[in-house]
Amino acid sequence: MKDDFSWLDDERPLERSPASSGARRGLRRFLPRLSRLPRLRRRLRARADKASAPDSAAAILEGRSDRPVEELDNRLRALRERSFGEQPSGAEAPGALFDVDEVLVTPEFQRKPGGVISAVALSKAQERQVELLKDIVGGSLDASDEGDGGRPRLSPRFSLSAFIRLALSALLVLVVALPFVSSDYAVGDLTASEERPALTSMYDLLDDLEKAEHVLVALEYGPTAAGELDALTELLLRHIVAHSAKPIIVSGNPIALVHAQNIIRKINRSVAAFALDLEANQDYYLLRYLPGEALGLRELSENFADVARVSAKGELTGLEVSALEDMSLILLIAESAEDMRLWAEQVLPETEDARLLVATGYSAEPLAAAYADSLDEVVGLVVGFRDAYIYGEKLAIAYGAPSQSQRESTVDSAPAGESPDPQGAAQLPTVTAQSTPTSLPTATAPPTLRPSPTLPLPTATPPPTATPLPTATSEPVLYVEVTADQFINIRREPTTAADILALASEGDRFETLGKNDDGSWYNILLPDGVEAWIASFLVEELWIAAGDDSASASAPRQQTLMRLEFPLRLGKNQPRFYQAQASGAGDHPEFVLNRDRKGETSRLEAMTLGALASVLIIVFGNLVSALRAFGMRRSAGPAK
Amino acid sequence: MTESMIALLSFVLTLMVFSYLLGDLPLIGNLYRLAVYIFIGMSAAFTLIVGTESVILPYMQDVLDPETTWTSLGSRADTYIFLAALLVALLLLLKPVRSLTWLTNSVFAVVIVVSASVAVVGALTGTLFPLLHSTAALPDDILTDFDAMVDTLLIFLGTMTALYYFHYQTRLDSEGAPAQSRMGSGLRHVGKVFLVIALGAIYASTILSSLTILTERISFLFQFGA
Repeated sequence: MKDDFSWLDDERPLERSPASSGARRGLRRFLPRLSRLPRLRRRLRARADKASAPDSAAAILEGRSDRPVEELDNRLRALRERSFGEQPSGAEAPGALFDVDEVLVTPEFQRKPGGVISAVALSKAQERQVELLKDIVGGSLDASDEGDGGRPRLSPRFSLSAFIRLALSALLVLVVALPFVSSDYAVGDLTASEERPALTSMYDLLDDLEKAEHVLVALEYGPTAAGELDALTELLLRHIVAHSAKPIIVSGNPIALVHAQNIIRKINRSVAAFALDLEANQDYYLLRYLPGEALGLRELSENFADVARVSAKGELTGLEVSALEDMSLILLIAESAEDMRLWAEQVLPETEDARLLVATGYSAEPLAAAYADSLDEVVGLVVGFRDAYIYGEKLAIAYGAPSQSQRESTVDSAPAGESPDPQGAAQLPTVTAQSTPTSLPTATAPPTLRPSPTLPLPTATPPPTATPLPTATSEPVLYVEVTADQFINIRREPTTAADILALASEGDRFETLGKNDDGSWYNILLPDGVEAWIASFLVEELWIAAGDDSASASAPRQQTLMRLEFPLRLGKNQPRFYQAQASGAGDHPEFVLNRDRKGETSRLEAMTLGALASVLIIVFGNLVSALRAFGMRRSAGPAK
Repeated sequence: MTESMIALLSFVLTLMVFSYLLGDLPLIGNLYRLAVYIFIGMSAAFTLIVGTESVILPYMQDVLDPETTWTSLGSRADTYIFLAALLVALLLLLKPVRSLTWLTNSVFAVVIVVSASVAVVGALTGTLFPLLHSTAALPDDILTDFDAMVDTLLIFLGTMTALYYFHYQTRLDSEGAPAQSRMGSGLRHVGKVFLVIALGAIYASTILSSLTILTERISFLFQFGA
């Protein structure tokens, strides 16, 4: 291609081609000139520079220069140093808070030569901040560590600072690991008494979800924050599917979709024994990821129906939603306040009175909490692992699962010398213990209830069966009522070695089918139709007419039971609890709760202990810095 | 079996990442780097796969077969628009050609400008105005509730002094040297205090986040070893 730019200086109009010459000629003439446009821009700029008058404002500014510092008298020089925050030229020692001054220093902007759009240039202050940040995160390399060509090389030496860093890290790891091996190192109160109103609001909103209601769930976190936010995500998803609501999961981070899929698999594994399974594009939706950050979110808000058409696996979802206005509840699980800001800016305005629930990590809390306070749409906020723990406690309390201390004290083995109550035993048939099937309950199973967050007993429920109840003249049915003041185990077979199917608490009633040979166990019928066994010394018999209201009144309480599938163990003496409650034949889980409470408790204790150790380390480090600065100031004093 | 293998792999990778505690040493440092390389490579590969599978392929399917409705391409006009966008996207591949780099930059410019405009509009309506409103709004019980009064005063003081801290304009004295009043200097120091407190809160929260992630990994190690 001929590189002739004389045509740029030619002011004659371009020769027009006759209309009949066709598009080909025009294209042939146009394409070579396309590549010349950048040079045209430079020439135009050069002309503009040449044409600018020497007394223009730009020229004056460019030509202006300050007096050299050396020409200033001492008073002006000192004033200049104070005003611009420059370091004194003398050998003055830094202050005790020199790190703060390093960060919060007046930026010195540099004018970089170049075109209209030049490379990004950092000011000296910004460069210092970058270095400080690299130093904080341990990513900096000393100049001495750079080999040929500026490439960093591994240093075989073990400097003192590296040793201190290793020692502090090892100390922190040791402190954090202690609660996992012993409960003697617990620090702080782990009760749910520190519940915040924002957490309660989130819980209440999710607890009021209707069946088949759609909830838009946004996962905006990557692998680095997964260790903190996966626990929250799992609990919140479980709470949503517990009401048979359908989460629509979206993300601008493909890795977050992997985490969502893994959490769904984890939930499914926990209820696998009950043949319950959350099915993609039916019970939940995992939509394709949204590239482009703000642009992706804008696409979601403007073309929600189209985005919701394809799943992350490239399948058709079959989701029938017309627009984002259909979403009344948005749950955002984000690792940074920036993600929260993007959702609030790009998505919320396109909804109609949608409420935003936010779950985030500790690092984002200072900004996220302030941001949430300023937005009326944000009605719930949970932060970090501590809120996850409290949220899980609320779920456990509301849905009838025992707390940690209650679980540890569950009983079902008769103490020595205590015999079961013989009353009524003669009237009961003796049955042989058999393995209880774990199939789903039939269509006659009672409808699922949604307990109140503060009151574990749901109300206003129809009777468990659809058939009319007999009148008071019907023959009475034998029930057993739990009298123990703690949670007791309901087992698959009449032995304490059998699997635990459920837990019951004081006042729970069960219809009985019989007793075992020695009368120490009752064969009972769980509300969902599954047969189980309960130790007789922990209950009392209760004859109730089939039509008696008192019997049906106990049904809601029975609904709060959590069925457990116990045989899964991670190791010796490390039981892992899997809980689920079925809703009806062929239906999907109404409530699923999977909590390794021992692990969660240890994690929270480890985090609290680690935070305490971190504070001590930081305080100690600052003390050393202050003493060092004081010593340097004193040694520099006589020289002045 | 598969889950056991995944758990074992996670265990080994966790130990490799923790080897960073021993420093950037030969061999040991390579373990950490290898784990990071695996993480970055897998992330990039997965992003590519997901992007291809859930974005590009559905569109291509609809373009090649008008009967399918995987995407929003419903009419021929939509298809033309998509093809035009695809053509523009293909211009990005011209980046290695030096003489045509400006063409690629032009595409980037469009993306950046559109992103910026979307972000600016959203920032104004979604962040700036609500923040201004919530900052400027006085609580109803400010005259009766002492706590509300103190809170409002602190918010006002912190906002104004922090803004003043980033005010760099100074007047020149008679000799042309920059001069700053004592009051201005004092306000800047107050603003600095608020900024330091805010940065401290963020830093402390970051430590808590790091501890949470550390406890999760240690919990995994203990569970795996149990």
